[in-house]
Amino acid sequence: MERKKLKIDMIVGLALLAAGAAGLVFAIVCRAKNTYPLGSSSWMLGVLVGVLLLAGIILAFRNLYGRMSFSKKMGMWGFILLLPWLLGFMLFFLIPMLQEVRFSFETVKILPSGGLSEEPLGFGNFKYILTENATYVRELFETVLRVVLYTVLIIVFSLLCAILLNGKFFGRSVARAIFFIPIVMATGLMVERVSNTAGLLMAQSQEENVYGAAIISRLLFSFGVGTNVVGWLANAVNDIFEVISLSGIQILIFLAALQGIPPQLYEVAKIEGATGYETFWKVTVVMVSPMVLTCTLYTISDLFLRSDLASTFKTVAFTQGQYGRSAAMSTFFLLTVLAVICMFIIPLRKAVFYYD
Amino acid sequence: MTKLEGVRLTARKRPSEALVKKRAKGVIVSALRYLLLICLSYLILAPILSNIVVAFTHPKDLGLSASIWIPLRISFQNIHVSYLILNFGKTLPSTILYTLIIMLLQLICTILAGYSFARLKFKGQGLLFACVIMTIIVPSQVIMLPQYLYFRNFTLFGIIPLFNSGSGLNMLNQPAVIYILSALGMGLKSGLYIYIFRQTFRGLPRELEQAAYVDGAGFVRTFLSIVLPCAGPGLITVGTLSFVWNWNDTSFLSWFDPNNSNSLMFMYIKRTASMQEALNSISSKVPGDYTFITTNILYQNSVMKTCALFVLIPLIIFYLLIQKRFVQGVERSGIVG
Repeated sequence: MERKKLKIDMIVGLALLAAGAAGLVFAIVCRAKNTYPLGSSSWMLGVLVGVLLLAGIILAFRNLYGRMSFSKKMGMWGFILLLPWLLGFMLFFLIPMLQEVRFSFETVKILPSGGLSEEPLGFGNFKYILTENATYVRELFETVLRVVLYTVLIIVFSLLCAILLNGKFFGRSVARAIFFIPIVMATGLMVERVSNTAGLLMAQSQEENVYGAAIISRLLFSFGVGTNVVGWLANAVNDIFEVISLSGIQILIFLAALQGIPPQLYEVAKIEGATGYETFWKVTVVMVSPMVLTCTLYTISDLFLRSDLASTFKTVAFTQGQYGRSAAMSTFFLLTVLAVICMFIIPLRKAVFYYD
Repeated sequence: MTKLEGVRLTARKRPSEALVKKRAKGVIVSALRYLLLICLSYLILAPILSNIVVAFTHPKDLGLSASIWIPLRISFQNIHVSYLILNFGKTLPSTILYTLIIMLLQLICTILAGYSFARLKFKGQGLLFACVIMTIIVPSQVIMLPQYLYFRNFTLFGIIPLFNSGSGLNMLNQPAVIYILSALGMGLKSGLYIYIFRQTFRGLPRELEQAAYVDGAGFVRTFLSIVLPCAGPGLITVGTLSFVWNWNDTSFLSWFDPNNSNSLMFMYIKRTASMQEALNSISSKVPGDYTFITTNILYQNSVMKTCALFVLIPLIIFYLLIQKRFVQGVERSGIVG
């Protein structure tokens, strides 16, 4: 009885598939002849073909599915669940990236009709951005420098914060609530004007300063401290808000990692007579080292995502109409990002300790 | 009896030296901890608080040293002006709706992908997971230009022209592009969410699902009634992050929908680019005595700050409502796995 039903399913499914395929062939023939008998309502045919094909596949597959082994079934579901992501990855990541690389070796123009004209150019675009463009190399260099410096700062700072917030003390939940506010305010991915929360909330004009760093620098000046030192200090105070506002997620990850350290390890260290200092370096740091790797990777990609180079790409592409040069800028930027990530990750991978 | 009391008294008088040291150390450590915590909390909260103060300060008192932290005269002029500049009554609900839609689409796509990576193995999956990591690493501005050109003439592997009289669709200048990207796992930081869900599901005991299969549940039923309810902490973590980040993000809008006037953050960026123009554009809507100092930089700054507050306040309220569950969620979702 059951088998008979499945057989009917299969036949109906194949019939639906055939109908859908016929519709598709009809559409392709129309397109080839460039005559459209359905006119503006041809999208309805598209919907019909889609529904027919989908229903046909499902019905025809049910028979096969019943005969599959358990692990095969799971594999198939794994593929089905991954389909939306896979489609997006192909359409909106892989193809665009390859296209970007191709554009960077070409002169690209948008035709009035809507299409693209592409002419091969060789390394002309790269030569232009690296030698002739006045700002690109400097901006890129500054971005890289900033990313490297901030990555180190953020990792150290967030580990310290996580240790501060870990453990039991009065007012812990309030402190945690405050420390994770920066996650909420993590503003401005690639925004032209507001590249970070500091820019959004803090002084738009130079004179104003929320923390009154100006008072401190005046005080230091009056003691005869050098301008360089004072400038550096003032910058550090202003930077610290940015560091805090960028390290919310990292604090969260480290905090979770700290709570995952088995307490036996600390007990053993105590019994063996280790000092607090030794325990910190030989238990805590070692145990969170895998998370240092994760956090570094995340921080670098996050910082590059926030860099305002994107606005340069956009200006070059749309205001100046130089799509090829914009693509070359992006491609070179991508290579730089990968280089910086390798620079951090390769030495870190050796230092990481996995506890099992 | 008396002897025992004597012993107790001496014991109380002279606690051992080690104990004293330990206590002193404890006091110093906790004092240091509180000092650091208070300083850092001040650093985090000061900008928000100062913005709140500025929002309530009377325009004529701005910049007076007597009204830095406590306004001399309280007024709602700044707030009224900012409300009009941002068109808050209209932008707030539409931003909430827009962000919620993106959040839901991202959640659905990434939870399915994450579960697949964690439990449902098939050949070549390792390579695909490497691709997920790649989407995290590659900054999305790198691929925005081809995406833009692609959406100008949206063909979907040449399928759409078949059913649209031979031409592709122009998807630009509507939020649909962003919905499509989010639903297909290429939205803002989707790669990270897939990673978080994968870690969450890896931490679940396999026996739960096995028991369901043994009892005769199919895959769909197992997923819906066993796996999903267990994914609560991960859902809260990812949902919060997605909502908050999409609220603040304007990169997709500025590429694909540059004329959008419904997004709060986007509105803020456009309006504050030229405060003078923004103030002029609403000057007909405010009472006469408001507009007397629109050319003053200090006044423009204070309105800008109030606008920033308007953008962030909904998020902060949202966060305060959810923060306890969010922190628990991160700890339990096993990001750290």
